[in-house]
Amino acid sequence: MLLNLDPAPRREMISLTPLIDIVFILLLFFMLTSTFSRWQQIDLLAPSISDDTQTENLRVIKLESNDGRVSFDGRTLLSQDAMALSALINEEPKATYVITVAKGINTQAMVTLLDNLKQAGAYQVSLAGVLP
Amino acid sequence: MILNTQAERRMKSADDSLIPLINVVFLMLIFFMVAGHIEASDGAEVAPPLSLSASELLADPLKVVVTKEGDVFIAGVVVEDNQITQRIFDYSHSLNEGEEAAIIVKADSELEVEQLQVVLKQIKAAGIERLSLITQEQA
Repeated sequence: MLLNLDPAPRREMISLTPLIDIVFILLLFFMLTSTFSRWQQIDLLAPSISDDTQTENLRVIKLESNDGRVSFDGRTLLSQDAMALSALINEEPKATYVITVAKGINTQAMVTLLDNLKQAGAYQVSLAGVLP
Repeated sequence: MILNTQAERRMKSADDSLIPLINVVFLMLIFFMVAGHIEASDGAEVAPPLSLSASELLADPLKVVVTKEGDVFIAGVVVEDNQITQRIFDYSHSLNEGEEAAIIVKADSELEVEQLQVVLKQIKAAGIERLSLITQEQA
């Protein structure tokens, strides 16, 4: 009987091409689906706010225009004017500051005013219509 | 000094030149996996307002998306204005005992506040105690 006894086959290197295919697919998937934006949040209504408003007073600030003109109790000031705003807040820092808006104000202007009030030292700020 | 100049040569393969490529692709893959995060689709394109003084996002609230035109999406599906309260009510009653019903509103920065207030009132009518607005970190 004739046996064709080949020498033991040399170990071939595994082909990398299928691996690369899979890795490319995974890479594309993660590139297209992942997002890098970091969201944050502003509390408009928290249990602490709604409890305190029954005992403490509300001070209503009206936002008149998208560029930050606000009026409070007959006075008009700019929300970018940090000095005037902190003077206003310092009259009653513990009060809850409620924002009402004129017609046509966009959300960005309202959030900017919320920011400015907080940075001027307001303890609690909220939006009219959200509070009781 | 004896130099072994007869070191065994590794077999050349066509794949050898691909190894640097694979290194780079793996690096990019790991970057996107670790640095990015995957989130459910909102149903509509919404750019939240920029803010300086916001806090970190709550763990897992229900997200209500309000577009520039005032359309409301909950869990990626359009919700008619008169059904918002019912949807929020169902959600807060599907929670387990001890879990607090928290709603987070993702509104477009160009949305008019009056339209936002209408949505917020309807959410509040369902007895929600914690209500927040999503913002983007200002650079």
